[in-house]
Amino acid sequence: MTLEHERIQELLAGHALHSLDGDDAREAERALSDHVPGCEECRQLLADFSDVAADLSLAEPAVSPPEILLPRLRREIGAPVSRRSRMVAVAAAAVAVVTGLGVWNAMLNVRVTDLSVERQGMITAIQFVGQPDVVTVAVATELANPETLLVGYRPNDRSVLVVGSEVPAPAEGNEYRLWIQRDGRWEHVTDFVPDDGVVLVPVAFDATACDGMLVTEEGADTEHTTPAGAPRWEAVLKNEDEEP
Amino acid sequence: MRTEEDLNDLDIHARLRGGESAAFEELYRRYAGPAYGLALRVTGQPVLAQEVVHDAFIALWRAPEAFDAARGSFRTFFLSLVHHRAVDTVRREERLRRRTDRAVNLEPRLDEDVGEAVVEETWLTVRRKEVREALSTLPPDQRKVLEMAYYGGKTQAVIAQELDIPLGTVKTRTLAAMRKLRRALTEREE
Repeated sequence: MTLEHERIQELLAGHALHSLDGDDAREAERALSDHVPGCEECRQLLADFSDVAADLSLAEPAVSPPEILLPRLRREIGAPVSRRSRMVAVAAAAVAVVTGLGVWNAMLNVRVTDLSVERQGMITAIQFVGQPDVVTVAVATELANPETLLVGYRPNDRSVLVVGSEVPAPAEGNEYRLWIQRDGRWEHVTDFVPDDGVVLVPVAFDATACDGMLVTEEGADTEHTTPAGAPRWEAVLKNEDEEP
Repeated sequence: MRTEEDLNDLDIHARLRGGESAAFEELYRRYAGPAYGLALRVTGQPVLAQEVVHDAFIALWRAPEAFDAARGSFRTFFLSLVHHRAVDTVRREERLRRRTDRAVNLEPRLDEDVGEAVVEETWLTVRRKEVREALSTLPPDQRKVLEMAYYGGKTQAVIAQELDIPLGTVKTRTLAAMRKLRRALTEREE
């Protein structure tokens, strides 16, 4: 086995245990998108390591959850769902699935012909961020729920999707402004306002050529060439130690 | 190779995709116990463990299409989801604790009702025995890094730091452990 192959399999082992971070996590994402799809041996190994990790969960004794949990779930799945609740729930599920599984290849086979346009958009978002070559980054925030916003992008491509659920509305008259940082300079990308807490913003830029991303809250009728409003979310897209 | 339980899960999941709440409750009955036991082990806190399991089941109900049978068993998908959520929760709590400089007791609160052992299905009991036997065959140093990663929710970098060993050694032991377990568990299935 080549050294490179051994290295990739090391990464797959750590990935299956969800124990990678930093450079190793990024390298694993690249391997998952660049190498694994075309390598039968590594594809099988990834599947097997995933099974081993799931089996490790069974080594622990099963414990009854608190009795309150099932009635609570029954209420939540059985309650009449308003349009807003449905959108928030589907978006939250998308965020939960993506953040829960890392880059789990969640290719879907969903017929969307009978679904509403809004749900179709969300299903498309889930499909996009679930593809093996799409990298997802949780965007750090001081909000109580740190997983309100995610960025999904395809390396060396200009496909980027910002998706979020239960995103609080900006103050009246304000909007959120998305910035990217390249070579030490900030560039304005787009503005957005959540739709009943849901954010689904496709944008076009090469995320792998960026150092970071920032979302500020600014006056809707203001124009600035650099971030001027209060920072709300930020993400590092490139390790400072990486070669330019 | 799909077991009978895997096939049962596929049937139930197909009904879940049709919006059948009875299917949801069947999956809850099958997996709530293992999910909660795992979440409790990783988070060490019944409240956090409950939220992890709640979020996993809600995500499953809202987006059942996220499970693709071509990629593996439902058991692997769902328990991986629970594990990832539990680890992310632990790491988030650790970041919050460091940020606010509050002491958060991450040990199980003994005065809380952590739940009772479930009366579980036979296949679970059998599989648990197999997994524990396979784990017991690992050399102690490999088992240690594996348990710190999987049940402790620690990254490889943190494990290296806490064990005072090179990061490369952690990676090597992790790979060796996973390969051994893969072999041992595959032999037991055959």
